[in-house]
Amino acid sequence: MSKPSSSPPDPIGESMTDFPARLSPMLVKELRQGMRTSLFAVAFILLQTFMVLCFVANIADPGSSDANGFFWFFIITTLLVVQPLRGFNALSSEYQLNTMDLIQLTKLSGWRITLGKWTALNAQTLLFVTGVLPYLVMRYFFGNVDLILDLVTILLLGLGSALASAITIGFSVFKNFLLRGVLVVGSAIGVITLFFLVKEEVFRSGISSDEAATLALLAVCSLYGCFFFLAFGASRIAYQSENLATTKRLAALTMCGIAYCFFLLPVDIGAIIMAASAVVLSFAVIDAVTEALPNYARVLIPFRKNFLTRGFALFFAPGWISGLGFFCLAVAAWWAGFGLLNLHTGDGPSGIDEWVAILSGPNLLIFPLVIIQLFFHRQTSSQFTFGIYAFTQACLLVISMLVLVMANAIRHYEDLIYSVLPLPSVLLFASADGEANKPIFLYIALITTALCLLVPRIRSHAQYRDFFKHLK
Amino acid sequence: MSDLSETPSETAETAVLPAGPPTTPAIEVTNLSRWFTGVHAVNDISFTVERGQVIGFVGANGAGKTTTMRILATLDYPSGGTAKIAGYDVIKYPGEVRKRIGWMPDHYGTYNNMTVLEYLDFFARALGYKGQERIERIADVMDFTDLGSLSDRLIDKLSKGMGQRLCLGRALIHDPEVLILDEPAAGLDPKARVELKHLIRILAEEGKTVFISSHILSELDEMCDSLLFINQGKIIHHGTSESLRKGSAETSLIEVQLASSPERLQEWAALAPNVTFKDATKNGGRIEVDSVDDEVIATVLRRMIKDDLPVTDFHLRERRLEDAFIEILGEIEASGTPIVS
Repeated sequence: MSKPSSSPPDPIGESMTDFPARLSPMLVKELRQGMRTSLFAVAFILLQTFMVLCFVANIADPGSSDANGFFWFFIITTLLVVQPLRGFNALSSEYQLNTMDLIQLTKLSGWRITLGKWTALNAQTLLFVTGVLPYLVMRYFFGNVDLILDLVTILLLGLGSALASAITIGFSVFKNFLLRGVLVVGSAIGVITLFFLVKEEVFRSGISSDEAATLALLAVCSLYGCFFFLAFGASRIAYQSENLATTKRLAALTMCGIAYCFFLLPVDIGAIIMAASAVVLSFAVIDAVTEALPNYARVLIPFRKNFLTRGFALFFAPGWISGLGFFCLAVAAWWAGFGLLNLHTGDGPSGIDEWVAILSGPNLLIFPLVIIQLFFHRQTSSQFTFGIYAFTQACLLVISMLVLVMANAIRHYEDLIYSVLPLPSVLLFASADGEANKPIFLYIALITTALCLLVPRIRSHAQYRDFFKHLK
Repeated sequence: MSDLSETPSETAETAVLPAGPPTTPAIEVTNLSRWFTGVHAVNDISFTVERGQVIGFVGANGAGKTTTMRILATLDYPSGGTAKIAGYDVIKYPGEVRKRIGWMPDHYGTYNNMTVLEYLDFFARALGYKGQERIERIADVMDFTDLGSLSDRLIDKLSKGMGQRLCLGRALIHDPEVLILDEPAAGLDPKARVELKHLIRILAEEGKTVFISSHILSELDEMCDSLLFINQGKIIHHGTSESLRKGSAETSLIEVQLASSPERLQEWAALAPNVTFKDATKNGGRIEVDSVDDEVIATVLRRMIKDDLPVTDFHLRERRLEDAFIEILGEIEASGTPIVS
């Protein structure tokens, strides 16, 4: 520039030293912006006010369950609802403000952008938690409560808040408000349902070591969940030559491996391990098969080295084509876990209906691809959207429910309905009802699997050819 | 320019990096195409921009300007052909290209709840600047764009002109060799336009290559060394504004002002060789010289003075760029062939 200044004015230098240089640029930016918003200030003041009120109520009536309930209600609302919802527009707002392109031209990768936003949100959550700590201590002195239990609860809530924030930030990548809303609400319902299911399982086991192992597994799964949802968002904002897919898919398999390690412990949580690994692998598969096709000229360079790396690319390269390969690997991994469970318990699949369920469960994840390939073929290249997948899956669910109602209403026609509509979800319902005990259902499930793998291969022949051409 | 180290994802790119010779063109586009579903946004275009040139990129809405610029800025992918910045392919070496370009989109992006200084600081950090170097880069940019007095002002309180200067400043933080500016003057008031034009002129004098698109041809004419016209995804003209004005004309039109009546000019033109009287104006008239050769025109003007015509003013009447553009479009429609010089 024409007028370089050798000694910059002091005010500039002073204004820019509020955050150390080693902090992530995105974190600094988000903290500067986030702490200036009225929502943060209002939420902080309101929480403090309610804490004071609850504390006063506790003094007036020590051990009151109402005061205790309100105390936790406000903390839970702030940590699990208000703070995560602040991430609802985190990534989509960058598109709305036309700043995403500008950021992508810097040295910030998709992952660093997403991680920075999540860290900033959690840093602010930490401020809330710090603000609450004095009241916890005072409750201990005046309110006759278990401080250690309170601190553990706060810690778990913090972990829950981190996961919830990761979910909202990950899904905030979608510009469509409705899609984002449905996904966030759906996730919330899913997490709450899972929580109650696990809670029931923990209480049913009634053994403290089982309970501890379950909690440990859930904590690890929550940490993985944070990574997964952030990576989900990051890979969808990333420059087309960035490869996050390999890390995401390897992380899912690693998480599955960690879950299987719990089989080695002297605990009886086999069902929880299998459920956890099924959830982890399902999310990873959905993510993998809905990834847009990247710029192969760039991302496949590291995979071209030798025969092994080229084989590796069939499962771990970015894009839905290798996503289907990863699906096969994930199914194999889950079946391996199922085998371990059977070794552990000495049981195994006993009837056709169980095999139908084992096949139809995975089919459920990739069946929408057949619909998309047949009816939305144009969307399968670089414009592939998660939204179409979600929409198709929702439609299939509604159809399955209708079929189920019909099947229950006219029981004589069940075979016909289940045979004519080979939807994996229908087969799963049939299997759950114990109505899929005939070989025809097994054949239908096998045909569905073949369809799910072959239709994309045939319909997207050009994309497959492009993939293999760049892999040579 | 400071050294920006590669991000981990670009390690493979660096390993096979070709030397970037300083003699390569700043921008080199060869048979570039980009098609979206049902739309051929850019159709097999080729052009070269030498280092230090200021090139105006002209075309109607939807002509393919922004798509081409986004490909050059590594923000989009070509469906065919190649694009290189300073010798680096935009697909194979996006990291190297990004170090060398400053990108300013048509809808510039800014944040709410952020001051001017914080905005520049964010991008300086994101570009990898640390410590004193970061402070110096920001100070340089603020000095150049005259934003020093606005450093603590929230961005959403800035005027459009100030915002545009801020975005130019952001594009300059890493001191890029090539500036790609997409409609930078759109929506600016006349004063802000003059300021922006002034800044671009200074950057050009400093040897930066500026690739700038605009709808306002007269503005580009003042700033650019040459103009690149695009229509329906194809380059239809590449040349200087002078060549565009002259076009394929074989005559020159001269407007003459006289201290007497126009009839004297008409009488003189009837007797003078190579000259035809076209029409009268309020204080003179227009004559047509049957040549575009400067020597012939000079001879005609000398004779006019020598023959005692009371001339108070004369000037060569050039085609307006807008007219030239429309004329080129007309010729293309008539012949179906693009005219690329």
